Amino acid sequence: MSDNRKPAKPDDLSSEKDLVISKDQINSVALARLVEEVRNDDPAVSRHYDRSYHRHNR
Amino acid sequence: MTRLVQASEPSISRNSSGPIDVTGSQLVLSPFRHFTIRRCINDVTASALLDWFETEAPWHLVKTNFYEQYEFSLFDAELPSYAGLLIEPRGVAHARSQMAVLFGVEFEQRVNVVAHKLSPGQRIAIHNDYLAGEETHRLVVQLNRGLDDDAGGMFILFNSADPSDIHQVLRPLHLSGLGFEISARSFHAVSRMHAGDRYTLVFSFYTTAAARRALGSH
Repeated sequence: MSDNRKPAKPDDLSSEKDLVISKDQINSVALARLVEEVRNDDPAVSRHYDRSYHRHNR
Repeated sequence: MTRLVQASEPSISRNSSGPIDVTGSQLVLSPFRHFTIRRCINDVTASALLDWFETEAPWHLVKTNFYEQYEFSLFDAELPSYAGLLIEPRGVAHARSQMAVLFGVEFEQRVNVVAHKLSPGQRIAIHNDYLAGEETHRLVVQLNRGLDDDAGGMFILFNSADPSDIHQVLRPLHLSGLGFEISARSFHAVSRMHAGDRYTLVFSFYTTAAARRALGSH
């Protein structure tokens, strides 16, 4: 058991945060970091998809 | 091995029982058919799942060339009692019927439900989930103890296969959900986790052959 457990924030639903962030709400530095983090080095995967990914979804 | 759920066709009602509730969601057509919802799972189930995920759930690490995460099928596990309805025929049928109404399609009985966990350093690169003849729709439910924006784990929708062509970003807010139609255009990704653990339930649905023919896809 993790020592860092804490209850889910009870005020989450009424909180300030929006679920959706539009692209123009993100500054250029953060945007560049996001793009880099999700870049796929194997372009064939994004085009044709890798069945190995599907195996864990069933 | 994954068990497939066989459930009788449910009636569609906001009051019908089931841990998942996506009624009231608004379908958005661009960049692909999807909806978002701020709350789609009840508190008791979510809390029971989180406790279980953090202690006894049977996670196993999977690494591929474009993602790394912990995962397992809920149908292969002994769920805590309060979460059991998630995979019982009644609960599955309830979620499936709501998704069918939202997307205006007819689903087969079978549904898959898996859990994912992303920990710091892990991410899922851009992909589209599309495989002809396989599952056609997903519902992704977020569960966590509260994640700041700096923690990462953002669900990103893209306009194309280009990772810089971001359409919008979804925070992994506890209890929130995203439903989408899988297609060659349904490009999405999850940004790298920098702190905390991000849990998701992933429901997969299959349109009937007749519905696929009608849509001219999948």
